[in-house]
Amino acid sequence: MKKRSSLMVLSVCAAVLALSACSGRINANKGVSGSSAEGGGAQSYGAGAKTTFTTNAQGFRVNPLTAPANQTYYFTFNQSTMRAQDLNALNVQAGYLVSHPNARIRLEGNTDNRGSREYNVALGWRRDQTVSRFLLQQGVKRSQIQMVSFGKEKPVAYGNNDKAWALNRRVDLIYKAY
Amino acid sequence: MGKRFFMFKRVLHALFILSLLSVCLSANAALDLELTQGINAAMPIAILPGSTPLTNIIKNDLQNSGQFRVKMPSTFSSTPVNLDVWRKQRVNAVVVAKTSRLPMRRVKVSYRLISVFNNTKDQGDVLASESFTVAQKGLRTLAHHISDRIFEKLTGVRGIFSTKIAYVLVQRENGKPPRYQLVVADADGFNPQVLLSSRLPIMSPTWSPKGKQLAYVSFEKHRATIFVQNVATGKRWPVSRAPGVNGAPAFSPDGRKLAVVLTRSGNPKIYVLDLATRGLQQLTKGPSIDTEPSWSADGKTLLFTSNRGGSPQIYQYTLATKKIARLTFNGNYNARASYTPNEKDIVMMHREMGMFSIAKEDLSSGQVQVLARSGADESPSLAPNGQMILYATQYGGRGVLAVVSIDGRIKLRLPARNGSVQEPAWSPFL
Repeated sequence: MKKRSSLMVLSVCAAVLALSACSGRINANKGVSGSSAEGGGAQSYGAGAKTTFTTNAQGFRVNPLTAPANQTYYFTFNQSTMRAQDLNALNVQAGYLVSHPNARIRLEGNTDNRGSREYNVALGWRRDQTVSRFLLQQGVKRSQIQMVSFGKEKPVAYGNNDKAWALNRRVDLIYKAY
Repeated sequence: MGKRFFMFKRVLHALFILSLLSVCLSANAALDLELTQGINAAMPIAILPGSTPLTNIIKNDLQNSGQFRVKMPSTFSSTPVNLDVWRKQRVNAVVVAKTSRLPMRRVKVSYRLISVFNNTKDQGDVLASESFTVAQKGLRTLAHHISDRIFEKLTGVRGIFSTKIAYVLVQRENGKPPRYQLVVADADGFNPQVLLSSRLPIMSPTWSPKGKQLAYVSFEKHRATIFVQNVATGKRWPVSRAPGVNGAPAFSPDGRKLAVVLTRSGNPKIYVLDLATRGLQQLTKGPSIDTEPSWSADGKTLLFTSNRGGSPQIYQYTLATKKIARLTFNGNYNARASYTPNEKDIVMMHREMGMFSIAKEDLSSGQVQVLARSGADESPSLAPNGQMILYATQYGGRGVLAVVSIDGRIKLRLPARNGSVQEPAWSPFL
């Protein structure tokens, strides 16, 4: 099982990389056109989760609009509301999860490095809740979603500046089972 | 006093301490203690003989408390004490220690604490005189005990030199995932013992009332679990692994209960877990974030952090009446509070103009005094004698521990030899 899915991952990666090379620079704010739920009709899914990712020029991860694909959703300071492009990508995952009832994800909530550690665990939790609430509304089962909040304990960027803070205010969506 | 002179004094102090620390034998320090601000009214005392392993430890203990200025001859000398000489040096008291080797790697240590005042002829007033026999490897522990005795005799307050600190050490090497460790060390940073090593975060270590156990949050297996671990044996067991948040554990003063934060209700709330029956009692309700519970010494109330008023502030929950009262009205961010031993003040993390500091609030007047102010101060933990606060801060681009006295006048820093240190917890008296 392992060997087959890693081959699939490689081929999916190769395909996406080829696609991205063709379409030019990817800008997270504009969104990527590709297999998208907006077009209505069929949504195709890969057979293995995409675990590699691309980042835009600012260093933020770009969420593939395919599923299953690990995601990162970013949040503005002291907020737990989601950006429109993140909701698009999340919606694609929701579709996958609903049609694959054995699929499971883990949401990992994070904050920037300011403030008390345990209070930040609670803030990260709030961000998890925002993501999971959307998924539940789309019909995903609660048992498919595990939630953990790391608060400020697992930064991806270091430093006391707006960029590092923005990169750390995030929820990571990680597939545990497809 | 000019700023430059004070800086010079500080550098001198730091260098002096550092040079002493490097001489300390047969002990391993992963944290280096540096006194960065002492008080001018520090009591001058002398310790004899100079520069022995035992007297060096006692000197560091007393000097790092910020309350003593220790004079010590630079070399070992066994000539009898001449109190007149020390009176002329303007010391208040003299400590005279004597160490003799015994067979089978044992040592006999005796000391006298002599006040230079109240004397008849050259006798001086002997405030304390004790004798001990220990194994050679127990010498450091004995030195700390003698420091405690001297401290208490001269200040009237119980010393904390035999207590321990717990903290989380994070090591980040380029290209490798970070390593987290839960460490227990002596109060001066020596003899670190790793209790837990993990590839995922460890948080919120907290001591049981007698100092035999630590509770903490571990994120091993990508989920939050609260463990209780026996410090001596290392044996541990999970006490809370509900889905979602399991956080901020705090032992009740009788050791039977653990206050915790759970999101069972959907929101982070304070619960009390009975460690024997595993029964859960929900204390706070509602849609707010409630976290960081902390017990009063009499076990009747808990402090906690809540944003129910719009921003994080400190509230007090009374168990008997279930009433909740807000305690902080100064600044728009107050968190991680704990009571001083006499419950007259609380010590907390406090933000003013975007800068995080450690502050003390007098509960009767509501007045807030900022004690340490680097802008990135967090996780304050009180010493069991209520005189010093251990906390985490940033220095040189990484996390370090620091100590500030309850009146803000004495400051010390404890950077780790390698890695970033955070979330300190001062043990009770052991």
